[in-house]
Amino acid sequence: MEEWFVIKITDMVTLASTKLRTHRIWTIVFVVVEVLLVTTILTSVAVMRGVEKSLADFGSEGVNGRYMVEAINWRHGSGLENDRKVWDRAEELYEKYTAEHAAMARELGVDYFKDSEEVPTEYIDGERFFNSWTKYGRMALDEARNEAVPASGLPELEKLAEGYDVKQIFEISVKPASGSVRYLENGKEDLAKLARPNSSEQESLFGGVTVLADELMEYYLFPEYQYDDRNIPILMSYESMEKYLELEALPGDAGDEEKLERSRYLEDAARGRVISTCYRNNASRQGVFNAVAIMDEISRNKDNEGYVEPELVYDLPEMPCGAVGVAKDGRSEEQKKQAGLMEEYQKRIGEYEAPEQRIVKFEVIGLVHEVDRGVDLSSQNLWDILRSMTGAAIPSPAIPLSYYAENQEMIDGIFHTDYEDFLGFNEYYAVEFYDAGVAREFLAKESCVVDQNEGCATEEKPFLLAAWGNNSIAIDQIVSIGLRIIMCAIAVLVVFTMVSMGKTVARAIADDRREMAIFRAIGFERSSIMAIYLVYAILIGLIVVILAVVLTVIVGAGANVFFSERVTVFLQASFLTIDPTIRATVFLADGWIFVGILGLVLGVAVISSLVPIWVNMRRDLVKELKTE
Amino acid sequence: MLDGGLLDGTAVCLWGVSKAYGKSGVLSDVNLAIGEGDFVAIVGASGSGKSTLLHLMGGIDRPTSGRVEVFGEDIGRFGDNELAGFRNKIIGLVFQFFYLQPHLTVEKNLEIPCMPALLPKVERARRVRGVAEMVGMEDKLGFFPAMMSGGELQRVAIARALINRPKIIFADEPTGNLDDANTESVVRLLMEINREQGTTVVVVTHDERIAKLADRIIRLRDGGVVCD
Repeated sequence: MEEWFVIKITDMVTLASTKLRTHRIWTIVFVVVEVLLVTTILTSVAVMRGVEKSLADFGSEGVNGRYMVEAINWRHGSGLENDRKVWDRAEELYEKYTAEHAAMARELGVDYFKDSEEVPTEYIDGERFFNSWTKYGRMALDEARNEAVPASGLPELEKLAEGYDVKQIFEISVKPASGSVRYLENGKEDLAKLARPNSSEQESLFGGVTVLADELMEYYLFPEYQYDDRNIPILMSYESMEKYLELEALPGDAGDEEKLERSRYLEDAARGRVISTCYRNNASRQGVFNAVAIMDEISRNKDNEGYVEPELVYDLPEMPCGAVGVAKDGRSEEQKKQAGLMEEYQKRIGEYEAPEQRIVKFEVIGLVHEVDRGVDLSSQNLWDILRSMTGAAIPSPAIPLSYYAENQEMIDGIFHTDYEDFLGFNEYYAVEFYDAGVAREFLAKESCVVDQNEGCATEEKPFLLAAWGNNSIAIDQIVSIGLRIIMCAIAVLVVFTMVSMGKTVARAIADDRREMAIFRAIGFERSSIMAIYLVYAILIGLIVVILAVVLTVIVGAGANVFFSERVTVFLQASFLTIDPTIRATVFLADGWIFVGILGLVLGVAVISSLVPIWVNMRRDLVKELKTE
Repeated sequence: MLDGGLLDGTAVCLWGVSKAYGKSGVLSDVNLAIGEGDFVAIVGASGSGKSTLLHLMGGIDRPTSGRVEVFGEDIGRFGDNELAGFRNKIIGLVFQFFYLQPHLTVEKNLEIPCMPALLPKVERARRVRGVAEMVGMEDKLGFFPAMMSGGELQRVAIARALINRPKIIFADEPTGNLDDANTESVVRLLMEINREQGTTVVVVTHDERIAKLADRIIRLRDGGVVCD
């Protein structure tokens, strides 16, 4: 009788399929709900995978997708400005230097007026005030700040990053122009504009440069670019180029395609462009100011008979970026001697600067967008919030480190600072990590906390840390959270499937008790009947899986057809991509993940049906027949 | 009381069979023998124990005490699976309410008992045709149960009981759900099977008209055989 232990699978399917019809209401309800759930999860997974792939593809450009943290040695705080010891020290410095200056003036025989030097502290209505912007006030503050927290640099950062898996550290130098660097409009220099205090629109293009590692810049460079010694290679922003070309900025609500079109236009316009500028140091610039001011004064008083022209009248240069000349020098020999002595006096006290001006040519080697990387949660538009998260930015205008290393003296002659960098904005670092999680941990654990009074840096935590270049660290976290949500949804699906499938099978068995008794009476073993209900559960699971796959494929195909192009344009405009061939993936059906989820659904359906099947199979055959 | 052991030409033998459900006794010390090829009617009032007796003889239930032999096999010694196989091969069962699968055709319904026997497709088809012809349902093999009358359904149920060529058929109130015309038709069919196939037929009924058609009538009262 051993051959009767089982029935054929085809027979199981035949009998199990009758259950689908007998219990169709419950089966349909379960299948519909389950299909919607599974489809939702499969679609979410596919969309999430699409987002991941799109972020990876769009993030493959430049510094996109790299986990970078900027480290700023911010030692500035306003607390010391209220410290009476600093005030006293400022007074002490004031007294010391004014005494020295007075002695120097006496020695050279020039007039010295102590009142010409700003006092660091003064009494107003009997109350003492500290003038932190004055020369000696700033000197005292600098001393105090250096004493409070010594400056930290690369060695301190490397020490801080010990124990974290750091890929590399980049040194970034921001060099403000020490004077003015103004581009020449049609080869001419508008000196009247230069002399006007508020006309800084030209200078803003080259108000300073950032020296960046070549590796950080190379992606943004025009492919054919090769720099030479004639021009300073410069990576400019699209926005600066727009300003340089005197194009009106696009309105805020401009469409993505319009923005992309503008970017392509600017790239074409910038490629190979050489921008001639005039560099004037502060003394040269002051000379222009003085010349223009005197010329204005003479012009204003041309009808004033009582007006006496100054003895010394300057002549503006005829050549672009030329030196200011002397139009008329009516000074006496004594006056000239005094002027010479004053110049000598200024040299001795370190405040003399010889006028210097020259034409400096920049060659645009690439363009990069200026991106505010802060996430704009105040926007009412979800797309704007998402857009504010994407994109990458490196500082601009920027020159390659390799060029700077070879031409340091020339560059420093134009771009340098003469004040101490307590905010850490001029010399900072970008630490790159292999892993976003490690970058996040580094940020969370090692950053100093900004305090209005104390500044930020401490001896233990000398750097203010923040994401640099992009929001990849945050995006990575958002993707992880998304995946976790999907995992939770899958857990819910598993629980729902277990409960509802168990109930569906239990209900079917409860309804079929007498039928099962008949089957057993005519010779079916318990195991054969169990197998029929197991096949019933498998059939339901398969129906769910097949319908869910079909529905998901339809949704996915629809999503790709309707959204792929729009999302691509959105991401191109958001990430400000340079390579136009990168396409967005809206829906990515990852075969193995799908098989895993579908297998899970099927497995859970089968496993959850086992309990009611097993419980009901133990029922007494006669008892069920007796209910006849 | 009959002596224990195999009796030649005996289909069913019961030796001192009692059955109780909990403390309530249903059958008490029943000794009975049914010969091969007999047409036997078991009659009695409701609760007299006739269905229980049928279940015990059909291997559906086990006695509380005593022994049941069917065609020489002490079925009390069989395990569940062995007993299921025995029922499938040796016994045909007919029920009052037919119990056909509503979503399967007559043909598929007839195949159901062939399933545990793992019969090949060709053999199944041959047997289905044979039993359908036997019960006069050969032209209704493609029908679904909902399309048929009560009499036709019971004929199909009888055909299903016959498909594995059982040696004995146990029919529990086979006409209880039928009108007079169908009752007669079904009884005649069972008698025909008994006569032509030599299949032993045991019918539980409360209908004296049917009982009178049997070769032998066993009357039960309060769990015991009162007249044979």
